[in-house]
Amino acid sequence: MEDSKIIDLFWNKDENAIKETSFKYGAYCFTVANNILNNKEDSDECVNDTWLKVWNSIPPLRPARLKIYLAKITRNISINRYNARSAKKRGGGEITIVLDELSQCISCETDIVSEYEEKELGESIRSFVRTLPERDADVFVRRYFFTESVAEISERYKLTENNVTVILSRTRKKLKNHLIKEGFFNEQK
Amino acid sequence: MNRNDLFKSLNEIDDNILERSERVKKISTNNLWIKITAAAAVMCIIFIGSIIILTQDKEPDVIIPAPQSNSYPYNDNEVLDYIEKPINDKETELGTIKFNAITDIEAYRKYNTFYGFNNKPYYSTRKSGIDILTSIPVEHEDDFINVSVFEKDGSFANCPGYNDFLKLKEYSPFCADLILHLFEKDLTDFYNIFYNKKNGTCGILFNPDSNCIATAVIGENISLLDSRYDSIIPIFKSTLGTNDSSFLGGQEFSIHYFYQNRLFHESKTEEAYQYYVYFEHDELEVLLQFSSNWSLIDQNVSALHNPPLTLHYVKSQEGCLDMFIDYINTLASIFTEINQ
Repeated sequence: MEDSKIIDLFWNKDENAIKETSFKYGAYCFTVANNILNNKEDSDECVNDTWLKVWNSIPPLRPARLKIYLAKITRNISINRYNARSAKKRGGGEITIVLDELSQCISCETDIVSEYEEKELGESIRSFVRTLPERDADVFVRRYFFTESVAEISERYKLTENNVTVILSRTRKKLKNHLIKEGFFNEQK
Repeated sequence: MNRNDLFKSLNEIDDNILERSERVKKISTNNLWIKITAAAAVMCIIFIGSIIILTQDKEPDVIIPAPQSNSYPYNDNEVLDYIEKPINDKETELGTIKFNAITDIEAYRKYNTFYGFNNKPYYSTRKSGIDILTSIPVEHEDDFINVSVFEKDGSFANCPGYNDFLKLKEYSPFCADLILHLFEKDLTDFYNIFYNKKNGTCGILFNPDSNCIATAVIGENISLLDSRYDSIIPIFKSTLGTNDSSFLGGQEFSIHYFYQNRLFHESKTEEAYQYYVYFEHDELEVLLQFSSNWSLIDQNVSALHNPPLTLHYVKSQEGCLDMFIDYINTLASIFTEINQ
């Protein structure tokens, strides 16, 4: 079924909306969740939570790109679950490496982030990714948004793993400089 | 802010960028089956076609050449042109870099020629040394080292494969020291290092930038690696001890370039400078090579030998020359420190 028709079903509060979404995007959302959680049960639950959240958000929202909208919701729910789970020390998987890599973009870590700062940070990241060359942006997004492994990215874009590693390393360095320039933290020698 | 906040904030990335990144699909099993099915269908057509041709009384009008097993596009190009395009000497803080053109086209062709299908040459100007080095078989697994060094958190000891790097240091201390110095200079953050114990030669592959690719081959007598070096090394050596060599940081360098112009299917497809630095230190010979990695914007070589997904173009080759000069300066600064 076309995405616009699925959105119409949500809009009309037709219960087939979830069935159709699950049929078309169930596996996709599961992958997004599982790349973060590395756990089947948790990922299944996150996907179910995604359907509920979409059900509650359409209407009034009418997403232009349903697939990406679902990916973002699934990712958000999965991150929250991951954070809750980390408190119980059940980590592992690709996400651990991805978070370690991202910590290189931050020179000092603080725990408290206001809602305002969170919004500012999101906008800053968005503008940063827009400045990247297309290939670098795609590689960056596959790694840090979709939490794909270096091997998966290299296969997807027909690059060598070394090449992907270099692109990611350079982009992280650029991101760090961007965040310093934007005033999110000071450079630490 | 912590890493979790940063990870979460990536949710704000534009939808169109996220969507674009989805477009390139992995080769799935289904696609594989489609390919296998298509290949099988083609085989059937060829088989049936062969039977029809063989059962016909007369000879076919058109003789179709056999498909080439090696698809490298330069197989049918037997000429590597030489065009004189001089590069002026460059003044730097550490001295004058003197550029010497390689004018012996036959020697250059011999050095860069690999033989592919039907023993016809193709030209690999980027990785000759590394290709040769890695293709020489060793008796024991331990006699060959391949270690990738890349920045992880600024600490060299935390690089993946650090233990292999220590082994390299034992076998080739100069090569290991050079890598350490270059790493500290932050010129580039990734090195793929090869060491072949059989001939005591070390090769380094790195990308100073996505526009350029660079290699280094280090050994006591790198001509022993392959006869292809026999013609080119004397050219590099001939500059040493003359006014054409460059003294930078107390080290003498022989610096050469070749402006190449390649043809494919009778159309010009690529023009690029290839840069070479040769020097001798601690009874070792060192040959460094730099070249542009991508096509000029109005030419099309990338489209010919790269998959469409990895097409890249540069507006000019100047960026690579600047990077080459930076690299020589970095090397010179390393030797300044060593010689102090």
